[in-house]
Amino acid sequence: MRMNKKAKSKIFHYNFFSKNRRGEKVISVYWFAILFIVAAAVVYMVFIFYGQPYDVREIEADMLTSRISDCLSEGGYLIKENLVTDNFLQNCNLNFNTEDSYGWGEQEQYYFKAEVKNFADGVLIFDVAKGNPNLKDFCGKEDSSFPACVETEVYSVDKEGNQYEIKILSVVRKTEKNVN
Amino acid sequence: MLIKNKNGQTGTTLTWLIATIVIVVVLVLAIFLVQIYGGNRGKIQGAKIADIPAKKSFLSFLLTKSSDGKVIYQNLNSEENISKSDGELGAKIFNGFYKKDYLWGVWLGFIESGKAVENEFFGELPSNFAVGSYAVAIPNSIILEKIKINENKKIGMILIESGGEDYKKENE
Repeated sequence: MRMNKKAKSKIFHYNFFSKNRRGEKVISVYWFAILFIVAAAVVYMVFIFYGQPYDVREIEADMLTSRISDCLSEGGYLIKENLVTDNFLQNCNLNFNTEDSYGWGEQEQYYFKAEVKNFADGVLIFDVAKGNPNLKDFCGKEDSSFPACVETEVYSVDKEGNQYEIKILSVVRKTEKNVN
Repeated sequence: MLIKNKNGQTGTTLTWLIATIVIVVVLVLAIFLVQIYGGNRGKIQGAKIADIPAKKSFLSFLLTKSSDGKVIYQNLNSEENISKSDGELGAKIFNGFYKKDYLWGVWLGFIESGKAVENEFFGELPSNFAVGSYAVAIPNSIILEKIKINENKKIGMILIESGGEDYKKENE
């Protein structure tokens, strides 16, 4: 019986779904392969872009400096009770603990140095340094892979009228998490 | 039904072959660009709104005892202008400690009726500055600390970090 073309195009025609569909199977595989490649590329690009770290070390060093200045000067006056080297971190409610990744357990990631001098003649009255002293050697060098350093000075007085200059240097390393 | 002559499929196949190559090339280019330009995001540097060490220095400056036994805060309350010794001490502290970090300027002096009063130690602020309740009218890193001396007068410290260079150039 000759096929009626018009009839064949109708979806309910018994011969609409013909038996030989091999060409379409090959096309489908190809389509899925292309979809997969494009999806994988998009995921990879998103992963690269959003996987980049932000460098917050300078802000962290700034905060460390502020905390140390809080510890040494309060209400405009020098806190002489905190001018002790032993337990300085505990007295200031600070600790240099970090997560034990990238070998940070073996190498301290922080360092600070604080000096209290007589404002008039610059004579050193007190100084304290805690953390990894090797980090301060990188200060002054412009490179994102080097630790971030922040240095500031604070003027302070005591109730007897003596004037002081407090110099604080803070250094934060943590390069692995902040720099690509 | 198997078709013996497949010449009609050649055009479609060639189209898809070229399309595949184009797709792959575009994807590789996109990945390459993201790796170059989407790389290191760099340092986070927000506008500073407070400087704790400078604030402490400001407070200590006001609590500094003068040769007459009174603190500077009391002197500022009683006198119309900043005395020479107090002004020179202030210049030594704030210019010496903070001028290197605040490239545009460091200013300390009286603020009366919302306006910064010129003094011989720190000069004057440009007239466009409006020292309002919490900020000067330049939208950059500006730190302002004020302490009330009496009903009409305040003593203020202003530190201007960045962006002010262009503003300064325009208004010179």
